[in-house]
Amino acid sequence: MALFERPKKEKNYAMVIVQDRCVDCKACEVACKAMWEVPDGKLNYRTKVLDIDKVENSERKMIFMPILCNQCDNPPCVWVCPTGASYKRKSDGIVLVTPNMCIGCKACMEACPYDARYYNEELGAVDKCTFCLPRLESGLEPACVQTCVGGSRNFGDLNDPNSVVSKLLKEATNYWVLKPEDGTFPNDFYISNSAKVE
Amino acid sequence: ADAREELKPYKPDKVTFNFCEMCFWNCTEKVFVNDGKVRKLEGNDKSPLNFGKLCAKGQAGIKTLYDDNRLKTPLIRVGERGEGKWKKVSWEEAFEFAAKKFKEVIDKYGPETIGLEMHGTGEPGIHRLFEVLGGTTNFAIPAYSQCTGSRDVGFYYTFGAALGGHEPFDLSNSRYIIMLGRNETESLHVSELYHFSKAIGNKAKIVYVDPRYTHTAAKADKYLQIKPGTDAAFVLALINVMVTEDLINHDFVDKYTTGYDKLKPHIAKYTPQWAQEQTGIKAEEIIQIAREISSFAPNCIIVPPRRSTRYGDDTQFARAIAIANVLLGNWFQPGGFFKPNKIKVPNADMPDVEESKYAQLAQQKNAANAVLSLTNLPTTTQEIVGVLGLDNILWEAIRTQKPYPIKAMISYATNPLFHTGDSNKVKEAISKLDFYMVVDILPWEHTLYADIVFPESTYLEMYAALKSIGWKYPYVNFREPAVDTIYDTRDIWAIAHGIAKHMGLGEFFPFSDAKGVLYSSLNQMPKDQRDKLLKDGVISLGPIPEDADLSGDIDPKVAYQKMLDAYKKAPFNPYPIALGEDVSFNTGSGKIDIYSDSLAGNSFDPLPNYTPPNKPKKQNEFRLIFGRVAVHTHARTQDNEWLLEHYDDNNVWINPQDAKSINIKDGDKVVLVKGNLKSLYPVKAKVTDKIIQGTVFIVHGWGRFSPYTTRCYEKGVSDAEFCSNDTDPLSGAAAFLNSFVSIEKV
Repeated sequence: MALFERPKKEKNYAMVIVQDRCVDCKACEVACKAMWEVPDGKLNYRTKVLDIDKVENSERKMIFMPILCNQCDNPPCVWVCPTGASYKRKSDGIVLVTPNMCIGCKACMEACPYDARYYNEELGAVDKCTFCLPRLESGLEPACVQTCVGGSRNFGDLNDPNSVVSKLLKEATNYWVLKPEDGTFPNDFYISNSAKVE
Repeated sequence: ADAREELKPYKPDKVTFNFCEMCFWNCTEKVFVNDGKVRKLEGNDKSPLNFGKLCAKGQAGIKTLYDDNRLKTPLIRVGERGEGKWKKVSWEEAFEFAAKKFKEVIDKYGPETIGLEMHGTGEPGIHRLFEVLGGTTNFAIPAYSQCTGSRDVGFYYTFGAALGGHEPFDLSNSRYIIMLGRNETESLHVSELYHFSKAIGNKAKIVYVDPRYTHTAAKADKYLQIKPGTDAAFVLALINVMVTEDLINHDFVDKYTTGYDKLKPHIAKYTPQWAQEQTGIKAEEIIQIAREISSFAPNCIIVPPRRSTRYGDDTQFARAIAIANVLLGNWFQPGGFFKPNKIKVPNADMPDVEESKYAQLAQQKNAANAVLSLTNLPTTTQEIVGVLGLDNILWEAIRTQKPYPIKAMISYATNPLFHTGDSNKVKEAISKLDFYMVVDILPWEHTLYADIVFPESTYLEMYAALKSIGWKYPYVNFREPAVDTIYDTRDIWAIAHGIAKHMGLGEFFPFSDAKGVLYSSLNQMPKDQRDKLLKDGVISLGPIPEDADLSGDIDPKVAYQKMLDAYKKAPFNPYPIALGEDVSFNTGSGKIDIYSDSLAGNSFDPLPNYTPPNKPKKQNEFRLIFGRVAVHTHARTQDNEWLLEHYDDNNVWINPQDAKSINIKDGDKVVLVKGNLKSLYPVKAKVTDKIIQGTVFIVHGWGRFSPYTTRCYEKGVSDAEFCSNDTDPLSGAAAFLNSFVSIEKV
């Protein structure tokens, strides 16, 4: 299924979030924090879950929204980086920051429509989600996916039709990306009313 | 090893096996160590208990290990009780001191005057010491009287079985789920929540009933804001509709139950219209829900709430829920209640505690059980209490020193100043003790009152005895230390061993620590089992058949049959009734007692009746209710740095109408007031219609007053100070929510 016109990659890593199944338990945030030693005392996580309260047809609703880097195929953070510290890997599309090349100008943080980056004082550089690339290379899932208690977060390669993410998108009656109008071509997809998630 | 710099493949230096002690679900985990420090905790994916997942609390166990506020050496009190002035002592001195104190109490008053409360994996260690000291049944696990007691008793009278702490609810295979104040997503256990979330994915219909709109309400198809204390009326009306409209599962009721004929006339008065008056939920809603859930029988469930210590009629409420489920015929059925399975593990080889001279002395004295003699509980209830104890009544026995003085008390990994309904009474009780011993990890409030404090190692620094608990998928958990002890701490078996030895009772503790106890069990295990445990960190009886495919692609009947066929070949079976096996019940009748002769014989209602909740005496008094957030366990994680980042202070939820009537605005600083009692630290008012009118809500575990737990010190307000200290006469368990408070602006 052609989702968007995107550059060809050896691997097309993607996150598919079953929004119905997020229960806002924060396991993902703490797992991510432990894994990547995000500094203590601030809520500057690489990923977070937003609580959205609203009233619809006089009925109260509360929606939980996991947010992380979208590893965009058209990444504004990379385009604005003056030093080349932020870059996108051609092989799998993961957007990374080379800390010792980062001058901390925070232009990328401004450019990111998803508020997915933060400045890490301990590191002296901007830091962000890497889809847990070092874990992937050891055969582990991203830390947030591995521990997701609701089974909301799913990860895999969209190039592989048998991957959990390909299957989820294929079967979903409804999927979306965040802020499509920004033309970023995200690799995080959200689905709803989906069954069959393991 | 900073993976960020070079993005090399992630590789821990060392992986050890463990199970989580951040809550009592005890999820199986792996511990990743780098550079000699625990860096990451990860659910063990070979475990059928948590499928490789850990919650936020579990992930944050690292910060409890490395909490610099931890108890670091044994401490002996030098100031007044409550002052928190101690001297550091060696383990030898500490053992000597405790041994001397226990001896004094036993010599002066007798062994039956020792009490114990305990919670967690170390229970068998401290309980063994208690028994060797001649301890009687004056002990308690608060999980009964402060939490699941009334529910368990209600089910015991109906099915002849308590549900236990690892609840047998088959949520992932359920098509219709009603939850009454069971806040699954915030008072969470990993696998239960995972299964609940699977039900959401399967589009199971979820009805959530609570005076407060919780995160679980957010996940429900239908949320009903019920008047507090009226849940039994709602359930009785469901039964009324099922009976009146003949929606019951007759095959099941005929085959497995007694007393349905008596239920029919009994339930007639509990009409939906009547229930509407009580609950505030429309009669049509109740009728519709009763019809809907019945249409999915038996693959549906009305979930009996976990902490069912609410209004004092909780056992009868649990009976009502049990009976409603019986009418759906969902016992040992997919989507209803499953049958727990357990792997037997050998006990460590230790001498019989009854041989101890103090145990024999206690037996000779034949002293009445202090706790039970303060109650008037039926014998059937006493069978359950004998195993788990009544913590609320135990503290009352100490406070009143009746029927005889209890003079020594041990709190192991429990904080009585935070789990009771009236913590000031506990303070008074402690003042009556000759000796108060605490074993804990952190210097919580109750340690301020202790005569001696033993610092326990955290679960990441020690071994533990094998743990096998009955659940849907049987498993055995295994714990080994990931790192050396950071401070001068020991495991509970070593602490018990040391005290026993100094009392001349060392022979009853042939192993000097938990490692010895563990390996004594391991060495008796079949080799293949032991090897598997040491290699994988868990034993399970797999492979586990897949849940029924309820995605809608195939007929649910076919989907269930496919799953049941797979279970026919599995080495364990959670659905014996669905598979046509003969099942009998541990009731007098051998059947499920809808009508309970046993209750009738003890002058209790043999069929559940409705008791309306109490009412406030004054205007602008609000019922106080409390609950949990997903990132804290009880009153034991509030000093954890990572969890504090998500929730670091509680606030008072109040309905906008109520707030208006007492002129409180959102964000105002307020205190709770009850008689002469005023909460210690002001908290913010949260004005929201998520809480029903007439009721205020706070999160449990706050109002921290130990200056040594610096991260949460002086934060929040404590429910334990303001709740009711009532008792359910049928279970002996606590009833916390009968209390009213007023709110004052600061």
